[in-house]
Amino acid sequence: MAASMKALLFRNVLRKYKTLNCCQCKQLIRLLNTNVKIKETDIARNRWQLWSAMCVVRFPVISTELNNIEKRYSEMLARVEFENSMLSDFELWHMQDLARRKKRMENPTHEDFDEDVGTSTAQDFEDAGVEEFQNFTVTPRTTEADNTNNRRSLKRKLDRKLFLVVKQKLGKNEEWVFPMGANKDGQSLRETAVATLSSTCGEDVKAQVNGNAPVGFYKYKLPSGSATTDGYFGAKIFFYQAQFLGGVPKNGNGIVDHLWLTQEEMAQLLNRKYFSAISNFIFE
Amino acid sequence: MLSRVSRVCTRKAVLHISFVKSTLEGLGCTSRSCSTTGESIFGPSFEDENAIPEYDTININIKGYDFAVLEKYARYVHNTAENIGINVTNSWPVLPQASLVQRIKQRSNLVEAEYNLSLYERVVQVDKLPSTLATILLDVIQTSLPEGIQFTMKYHTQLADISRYIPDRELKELEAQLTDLGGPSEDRKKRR
Repeated sequence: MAASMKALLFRNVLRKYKTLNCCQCKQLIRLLNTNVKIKETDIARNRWQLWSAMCVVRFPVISTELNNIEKRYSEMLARVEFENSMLSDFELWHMQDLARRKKRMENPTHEDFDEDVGTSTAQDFEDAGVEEFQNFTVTPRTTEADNTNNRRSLKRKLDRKLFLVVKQKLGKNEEWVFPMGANKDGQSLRETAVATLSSTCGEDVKAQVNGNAPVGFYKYKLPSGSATTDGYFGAKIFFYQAQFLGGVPKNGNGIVDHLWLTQEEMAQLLNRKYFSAISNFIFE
Repeated sequence: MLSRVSRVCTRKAVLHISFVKSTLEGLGCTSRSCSTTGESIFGPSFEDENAIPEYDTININIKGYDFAVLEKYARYVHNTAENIGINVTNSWPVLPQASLVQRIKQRSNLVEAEYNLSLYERVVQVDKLPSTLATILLDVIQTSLPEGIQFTMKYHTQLADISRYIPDRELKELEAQLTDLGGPSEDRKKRR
């Protein structure tokens, strides 16, 4: 009996009966003891090629804007804090100034007020600050890349995470995926991921890998009936996460095109199953 | 009735155990022990081969100028690490670094504005961090980092322990005075 059939039966039986009664146990033992001729195709069908993929992330440059509720709540908290607070040094200084000015109005020629001519009052200080603030130009939150929706640019969507997605040739087709490559013997998965990134996207791209353990997993079964190279059943892809440090990905070395996309844009572009595997470890 | 039920139960149990035992023997595991914990009265306990590698003691230093934000964020990091299941051993504040920033008017030495800044710091210590959770923790901390806050993750060193202490300025001054005067008196030394 073929090995896969045995495994299937074993699994089905165990699933149905958490513990085995006498008859089923005997049946199983009989099954397991039968002589089995293992065919070559069976071995090949159980072989999976290991691949490593690199999820390169450009972290947000500016913080996200508060939404409506957050804005109103923070304003309310600020008002509460203001009402409960003591007077600050600046406010005391201002009050003293006003009191002094009032006294001076009543008694202008008093000797105490001779020193007041050159000193700056609190009001002056505040006015100088206000003027400085008005002269200051704030850089806009949306950049030129946002306006043109240039998805290849890194300057787009500064308050979101951007993920590097490449159009890579896998077998016959070109797919939009994270840069990935096959694992060679003797190479750890992390080393594969790092090597893959530089081989597909060029030496220019620099990324800091987060750790030695992969963060995600995707199993790709080759379509049945297709001519499998080296007799592989399919590929198991392990994802590594890395922070983008610099460089521009170069097309030509295995990738045809590259894009920097947000989570929602990836959901639209990528294969549905692939994206569901990715969305397990992507968050913002 | 009861006896019959008990017989059926035992038969099931016996069969189950024998089945499990045969598979264990098939795998080559011959120790008659609880294989999950590795305890055994017949032989030594074996280390779990599939154990996830763990990091040594790591310090997460969180620095920032805005005190309220920093405190809140340090608390968030501590709670998140605990909720993920990481062993958070300690968390402490570090002496703030005071700095004076002066803005000087152009082409003169006149000070236009002066700012007294303090760089506050909080440390969260984490022990036996599994490498699988390390990537997640790093990602979470980085993603939720507020404005104006920096963080670093380093292995714990003795220097980190020493930097917690506030130097006693008066004591140091007195010690300096003593060395200037020629060290401790000899009578004192003889008495010891």
